[in-house]
Amino acid sequence: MQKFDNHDNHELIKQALDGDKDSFCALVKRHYGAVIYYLASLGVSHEDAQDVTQETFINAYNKLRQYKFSGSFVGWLLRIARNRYIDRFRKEKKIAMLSDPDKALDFPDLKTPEALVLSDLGCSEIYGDMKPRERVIVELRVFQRLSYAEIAEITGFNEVNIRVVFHRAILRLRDRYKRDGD
Amino acid sequence: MSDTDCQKTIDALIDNMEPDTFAAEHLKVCKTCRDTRKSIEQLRISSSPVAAVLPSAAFMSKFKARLESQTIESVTPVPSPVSPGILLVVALAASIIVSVAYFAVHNNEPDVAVVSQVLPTIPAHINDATTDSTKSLIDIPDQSATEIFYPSPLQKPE
Repeated sequence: MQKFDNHDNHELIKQALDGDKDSFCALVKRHYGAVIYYLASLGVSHEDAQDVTQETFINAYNKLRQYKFSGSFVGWLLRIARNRYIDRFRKEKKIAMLSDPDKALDFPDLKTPEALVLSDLGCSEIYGDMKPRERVIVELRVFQRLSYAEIAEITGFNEVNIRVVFHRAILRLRDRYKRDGD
Repeated sequence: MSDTDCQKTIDALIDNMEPDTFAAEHLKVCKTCRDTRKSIEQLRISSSPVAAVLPSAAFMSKFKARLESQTIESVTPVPSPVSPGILLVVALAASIIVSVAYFAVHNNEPDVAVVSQVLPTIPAHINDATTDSTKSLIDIPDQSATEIFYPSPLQKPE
């Protein structure tokens, strides 16, 4: 799949719309981490997260023509993931995210392959002592470049709250980098 | 310099690679934000840790098998629904136009019933005065009248 490494998201989406399913598989590989990390942040177990991620990408493929090229593709994917997650767990009333967001964002299963990979990659070095909720917000804001409104839509948190959490996290990160630098 | 300025600057740095005018000016005077900028750049250099998490071979083979039977749904154009607010405005505008048109038409035609009721109330002496004054105005001397209408003696009718 290395032939797709230099293609940007929009190029791959256009190719997928023209019938090239390999291009869509390249998108899956590229954004699998973001989706699985997001679901993990919601407190979804590894097995369930795998299933929801499959559903998310299948649903995204079916609805690919509805994607507006002006918006963030990751943001669009995560909104689908959130809806699939809610659909799946609505009946079982497992949606802890809506009842207690802070608690739900604690990672319940730190021995999942994803958690271990994140640990190996030095995720803790990057995010330091940030709380899970802060990590998700920083990830979505800094790396995925989503707006506060998009993050609010995806996480279900209040936009003002997200702003405050993000700025506190960034300031703490700055202090940590500064300490490490001294 | 307030916290809000710092937040605006950080947001500008996150959203754009280059700071905008406001952020650039703020960065000149705020050391805290200059440090924050360095931290954000440092964070970005490390790249997203989640981007390196790849799906397992089992996940991809299962996904590809499912994808084979899938098709991309076509988007059917949905007629844009007219909102109730727009309908209300249109109805209001239509009623105003009808009202204006009605009054415009009916104001040009004196209502016979109304006129007959109003006229007898005018006092008789006013009516007479009007008649007299009109009469006096009409009684212009012939000479002056001819001078007005026929200033040249050549054109004066015999």
